[in-house]
Amino acid sequence: MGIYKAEAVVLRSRIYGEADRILTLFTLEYGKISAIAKGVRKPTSRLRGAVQLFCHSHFVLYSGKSLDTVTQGEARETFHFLQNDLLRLTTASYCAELVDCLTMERQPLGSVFHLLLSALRCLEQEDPEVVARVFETKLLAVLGYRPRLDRCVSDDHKWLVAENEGSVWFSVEKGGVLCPECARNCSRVVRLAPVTVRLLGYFLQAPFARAVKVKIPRENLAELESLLRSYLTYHGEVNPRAREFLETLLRKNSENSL
Amino acid sequence: MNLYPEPLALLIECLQKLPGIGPKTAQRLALHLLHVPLEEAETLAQAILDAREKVFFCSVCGNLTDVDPCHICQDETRDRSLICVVEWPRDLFALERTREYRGLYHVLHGVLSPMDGIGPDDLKIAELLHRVKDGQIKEVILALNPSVEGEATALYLSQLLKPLGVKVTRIAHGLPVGGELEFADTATLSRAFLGRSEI
Repeated sequence: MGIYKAEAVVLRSRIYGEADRILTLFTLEYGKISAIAKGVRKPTSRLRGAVQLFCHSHFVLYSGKSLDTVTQGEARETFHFLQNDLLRLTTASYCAELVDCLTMERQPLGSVFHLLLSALRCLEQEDPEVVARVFETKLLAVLGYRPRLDRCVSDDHKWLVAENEGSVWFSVEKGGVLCPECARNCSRVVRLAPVTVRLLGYFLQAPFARAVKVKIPRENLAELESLLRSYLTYHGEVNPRAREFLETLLRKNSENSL
Repeated sequence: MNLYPEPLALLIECLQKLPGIGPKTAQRLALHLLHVPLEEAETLAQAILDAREKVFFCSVCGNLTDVDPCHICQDETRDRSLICVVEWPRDLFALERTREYRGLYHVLHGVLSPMDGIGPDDLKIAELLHRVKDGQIKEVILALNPSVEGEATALYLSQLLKPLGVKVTRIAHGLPVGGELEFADTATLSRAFLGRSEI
């Protein structure tokens, strides 16, 4: 391929050798790629700024025999605010790790790129927990795991959730809501509040920046978190390390505020 | 068919495991070692074993040492009211080479990294708080790398340390000596502005 350009977000950065770093980049054009940035650990390197974690940069790369090399880089958005807030930083790490785990190399997924950028941008002002939930929902949808919320996923009957119904049945395995009859015959169903299901639907269709502004009651947020976690673990087969970190942080935060 | 005699092959294989050493370099080093005086080879072998056996982490500051506490922690001429926090022993060595800093150190052995699952319990943070609570420390200097994770760790530490009544400072960020404004990146330049001082 020779020399090529790519717009990317830096997902991971590992030290390599004396002065180099191996980067995992998620690019708009080519999906996830690995590349080596030579000499970036030296103070004189011009690439230093562009290869920082989570930086949205424009790169020029050269395809090598084993690993591509970054030859030029220009930072566009550094998301500097992440360094001042451990919770937002951890949420950004969580989103980046989800993308890293759920995508294969060289699989162009422009929608995932834009999703990641939206999440990083929204993290500056919005509630990190809500950003994480919206990101998880939209990422699942884009990768082909969109949950079925309009009809029973088992018998395809259109089944409307009445306002005064106690709860909605949901099967993580089948990937959607169940009518009460199918729920009876299905093992391992979860009960969700109707509000939670409506929120999920809203997250799926509303633009990112609007979806994150929704004020969510604590019980529904917790329910959503638990549902999305089961969903990701089952369908995505992922268990991101950053999630445990996030939970510990959130727990410490709520302990401190009591 | 074996290319090398067995002992030579084993030596090359061992050398190849070292970072940055490929098969050609390993062969070169191995052949060199075959030709030096026996004493030199013995000294090298013994030095490797000694270093593994006798070097450990100082129980106070986490630095690499062969005595406990390390010679820095024991040094009475150093300013014992200052602790400089670094990520790894190699950062400590870099700072010591300047011969300018005369306080004590604390090595965290990493930085907070959510993606790699490195949390506060995986670093020597509790030990640092313990040292500060003992009462003699007046200032904690955070000399972590100015990376995303280094900065976040510095912030986390300052939030833990400030309530203990110590002064918490961070080393300056900005243009390197010999650097040029024209080639500096935007992040560095904005930091350099923020950290400006009166002359």
